[in-house]
Amino acid sequence: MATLAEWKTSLRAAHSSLTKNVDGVTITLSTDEYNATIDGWAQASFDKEVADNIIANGGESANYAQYRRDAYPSIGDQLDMQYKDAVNGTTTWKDAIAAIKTKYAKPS
Amino acid sequence: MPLTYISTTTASGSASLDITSGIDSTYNEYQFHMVNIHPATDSTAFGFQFNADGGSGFNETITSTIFKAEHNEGDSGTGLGYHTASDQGNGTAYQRVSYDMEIDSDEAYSGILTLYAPSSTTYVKHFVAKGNYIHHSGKYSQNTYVAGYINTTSAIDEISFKMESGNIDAGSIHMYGVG
Repeated sequence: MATLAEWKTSLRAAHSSLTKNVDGVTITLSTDEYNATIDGWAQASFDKEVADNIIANGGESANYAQYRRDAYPSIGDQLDMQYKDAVNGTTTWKDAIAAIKTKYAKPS
Repeated sequence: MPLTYISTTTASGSASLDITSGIDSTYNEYQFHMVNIHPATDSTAFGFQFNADGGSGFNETITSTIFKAEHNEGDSGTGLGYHTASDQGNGTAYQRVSYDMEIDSDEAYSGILTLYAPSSTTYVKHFVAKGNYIHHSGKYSQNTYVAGYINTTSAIDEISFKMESGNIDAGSIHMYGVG
C-alpha cells in the first residue's frame, strides 16, 4: 500500500499541470491550486486504499458501522438463518453476525 | 414549471467544472443536469460545492444525507441503504453524488441537482440531487439520492463540480432556471 507521500509523488509525475473549466473557458491551475488539487487527490486515494484494505481484510476503523451494515446478510436471509437455527439447534446466524462484528472492529 | 436554458460547461480532462455566472435572483430554483460525467480515475467519487457571494473558494458549510438503491447486471444482488461515508454534518467538503465509480469507457454518472432560492438572504439554501451510475464492484446500477442544505444566509452565486481524485475525463453540466 502506497504512503501519502508516494501518492503525491506519483500524481505529480502523472500530471505536470492541470486545467479547470470556468464558465466554458479552460484555465491552467495556478501553482497554489495545483498543489492543493494534487494534495487533495493524494489524500482521497490514500484514504480509499486504507478503507479498501479494511473492507477486504478487516481491522479497526471509525467507519466500522458502515462496513458492518454493508456486510450483514439481508434481513430476509437473517430471518431464514434464525428459523433454521431454531429448527436445527444450530448457531449459524449468531456466528455470522459475530464474525462481521469481529472483522470490522470498533476502535478501542 | 418551464425550464430556461442558461449555460453548458463541458469537461475535457478537467480538474473541476466551475460555474461562476448566471446564478442569481432571476430564478427561485436552478437545475444542473449532469450528463455522462466520466472519471479519469477508477473508483473515485463525484461531487459539488458552492461559494457564497463575496466569498472565497468552494468551501461552504453543508449538512447532507445520502442513500442509494442498487441492483447488479447479474440480477443476483440488490440493496437499499444509507451511506454514512458520503454525508456531511456542517462539513466543507465537496458533497458526493456518487462514490466508487466504475471507469470503463462506456460508464458514467448522470443526474440532476436542484438548488433552491440561492439568492435568499433569509434562509439556508436547500439542494436535492438524484442520479445513477455504475459502481465499480460487480457492475451495480447505483441510484443515489442526496439532499441537504448550505448552512448560510448569504446568497450563493457559484458552484463547482469535481472528482474526489483525478480529473473529470468527460461530461457536461447544463444549467437551467426554473419558472
